[in-house]
Amino acid sequence: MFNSLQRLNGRWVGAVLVTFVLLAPLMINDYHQSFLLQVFMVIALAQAWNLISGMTGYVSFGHAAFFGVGAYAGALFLTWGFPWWLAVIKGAGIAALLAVPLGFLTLRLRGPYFAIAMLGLNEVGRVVATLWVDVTRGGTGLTLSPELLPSLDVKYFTMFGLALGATLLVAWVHRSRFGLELRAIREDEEAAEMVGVNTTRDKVIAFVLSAVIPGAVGAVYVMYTSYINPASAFEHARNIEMIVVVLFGGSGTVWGPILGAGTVMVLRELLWAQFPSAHLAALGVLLLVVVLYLPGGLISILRARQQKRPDARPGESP
Amino acid sequence: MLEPSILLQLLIGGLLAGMLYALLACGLNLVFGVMRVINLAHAELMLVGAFGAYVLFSVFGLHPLLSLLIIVPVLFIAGYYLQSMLIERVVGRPMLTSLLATYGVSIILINVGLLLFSADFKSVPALQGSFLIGELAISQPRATAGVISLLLTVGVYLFLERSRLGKAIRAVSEHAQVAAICGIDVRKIRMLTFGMAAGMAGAAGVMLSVIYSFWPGSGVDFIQKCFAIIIIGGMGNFLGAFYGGILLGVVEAFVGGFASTQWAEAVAYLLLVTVLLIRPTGIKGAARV
Amino acid sequence: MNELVCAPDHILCAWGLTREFGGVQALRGVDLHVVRGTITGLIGPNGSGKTTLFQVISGMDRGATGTISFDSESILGWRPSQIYRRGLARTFQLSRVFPELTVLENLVVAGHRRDRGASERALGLLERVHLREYAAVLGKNLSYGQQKLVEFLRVLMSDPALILLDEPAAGVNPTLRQTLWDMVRHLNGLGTTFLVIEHNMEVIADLCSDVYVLSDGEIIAQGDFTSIRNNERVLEAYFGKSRKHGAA
Repeated sequence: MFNSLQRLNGRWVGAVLVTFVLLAPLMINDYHQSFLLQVFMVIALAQAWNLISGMTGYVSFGHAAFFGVGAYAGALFLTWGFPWWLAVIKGAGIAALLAVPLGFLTLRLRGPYFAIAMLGLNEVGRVVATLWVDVTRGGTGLTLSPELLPSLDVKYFTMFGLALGATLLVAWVHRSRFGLELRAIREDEEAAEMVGVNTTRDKVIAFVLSAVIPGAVGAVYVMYTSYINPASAFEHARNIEMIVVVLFGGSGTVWGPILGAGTVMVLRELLWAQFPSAHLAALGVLLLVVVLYLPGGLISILRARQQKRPDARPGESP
Repeated sequence: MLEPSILLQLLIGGLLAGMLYALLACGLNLVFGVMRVINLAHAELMLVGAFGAYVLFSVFGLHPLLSLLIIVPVLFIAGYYLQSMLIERVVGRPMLTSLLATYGVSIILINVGLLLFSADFKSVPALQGSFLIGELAISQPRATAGVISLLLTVGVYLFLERSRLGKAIRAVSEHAQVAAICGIDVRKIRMLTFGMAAGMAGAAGVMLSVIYSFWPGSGVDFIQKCFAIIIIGGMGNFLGAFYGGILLGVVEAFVGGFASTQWAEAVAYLLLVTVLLIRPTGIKGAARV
Repeated sequence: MNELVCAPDHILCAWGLTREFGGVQALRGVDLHVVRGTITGLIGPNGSGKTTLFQVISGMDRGATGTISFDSESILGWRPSQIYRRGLARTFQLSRVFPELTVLENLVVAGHRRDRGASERALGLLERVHLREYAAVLGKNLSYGQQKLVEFLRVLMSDPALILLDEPAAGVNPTLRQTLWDMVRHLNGLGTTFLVIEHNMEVIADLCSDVYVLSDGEIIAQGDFTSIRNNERVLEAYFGKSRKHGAA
């Protein structure tokens, strides 16, 4: 991963970024703060996707489904009088609860079929949200009245917390025995099973972890936009971003999704306001570039410049 | 509610819609069979055909049935070159790689479409009216689209079964390595197959334009329908995709008639997800870990 | 098999194992017992079902009927990871080392989850076969012979009581091959039981105290090597009916 010197650098960079983020609300205006909030959101979602798709190798094409579930759940709990932070927790909780049975069912499928099943689940989410009118108000969507919503600063810090938490989670998993087992599963699931790895348990845990975060993010997001409908909750753009951010940055790594998020957010700033389609088309191009030329993502370019550590410990392969 | 004439009406409507689905699904299935690639951009290729028909109709006044003659060859050539420039590079690699690559292509196509045509619904109202047979009223556009789709699908089937090239294609589907040893230019076959599939998708798009209104994002629903069809019908199985398409059309028609159109739209998703999750071995064991 | 027939000194008993693949009978009622502390051989012509038998015993193939008892516990229907953690490990015919994991990681992942000393044990094992300096090398960068050796070491990490070896020396150069068999002998001396699929009759003769012969899904002979190699049915299975040879 990084040799000692660079790992220290990583920590310094991290520390500087965190400090900046914490102080930023004092220095910048609301627009920029919102922008940062969205950056955090992208990072949090990306790291969550990274957990299941990057580290375990089960590439999901529909993970935004959990975001949508969290968004609706959060919105509903908020309108039912729960404090915002409890609504967020419940949003995450419902996403996790759904992820357990769904995980057991979908993780039996091989690569491309898992991807397609998740893609289908995202659409099922959208369809359910549209048809279950009593609860979700269908296509009209739910609007949240302003007095229920926390302030921008609160949402900003919460989203940051989620992004930081997600990143730390990925970092911890990366170094842990659990992460080693996930990587073994990614490499050769049968052989992993043969050497004692309980692949089902590990996969489902990774899946649930990867669902909890988008659930929470969705709940915070709905408090940020104060409106949710099926199309925006289960938006394809979100799925696409999760995939491209991680693959372009470097899947299965800790910093990859952050690099990828940075790139995609820059693209967003340049294109989204005027030409949202151009932004997404650019993401499509990035995806092609990654698949055809750069399967390891940006991180692999950085790694190619390093030496292998001769005394790497498990969980820290170079 | 259960009058025979209504049931018959729904059945016929379903069959006609199903023929369109079958044409589309068979194309996707063909590509999968020959090169084990799941083309996530297949529905967008269909939309290229649909928008092509729209442009030809609204700008040049060309009747959609005539624009078929232009669109199918154009898409065939486009597909041929798309294969050679892009898909060929991911053919040998794990299926997930080609899934991601075609996903990228689909995203690009959708958004270029949005840039060119915006998100407004378009259609080609070239055919109007209905045939009246006894108590049944069969909409003319649907009948035309259904019949032409059927003819095209049957045509492709006969081509695959009877012609030398068709047999070569089937040989590659069964066992590419052996086919290569027998002197078949497998690469050419793949390019031809993809071109054919693109042509079929384009034709389906022209037919689509005559019946439904569409926007660049319409593909998402259709690709899910195709997946549901080929997974239930058996991946790589041409006839399976054909029957599956018709079945889906009929089921949707009845659900739409007895419940609501929204529920009808949900049928394919629910079918797909249910089959994958509950009975993955329904895919002949191919999908399970 | 009724419990009485599976003696306490049998670490593995199988009775009536049958496995069918779409009309083809890969295993037809295989009965087999492995005595604790032995190196037992499993031989037979290609396609006789040896690897299928290993697949079934190790839990990777859950479609067989019959009974399997390991260390007095019935393990038919268990997940492979459960069977492994119970003490029954197996290697593969073609190396299945994790390519993007380092050699050390390959070993550690096979050890017990809570074992803090896993790294040390792994390094110790590598030391024994003179591969310690390869600890940080990625699996895919090893030679094939080294991969097979690492795969062998991998299953040792959990200290199994019984190890199924599927042609462990195939494709390995003579020096490494010798290292491998020496380790097998050494471990056997310490009490580990082995069931070995091998085509090299010298090895079988040298190492195995008991040999099973599998042909066309059935056990056709069992005993020590000398009696096996003179067995008519065995000769028939290997060489066909029309030719009669002396000792192979």
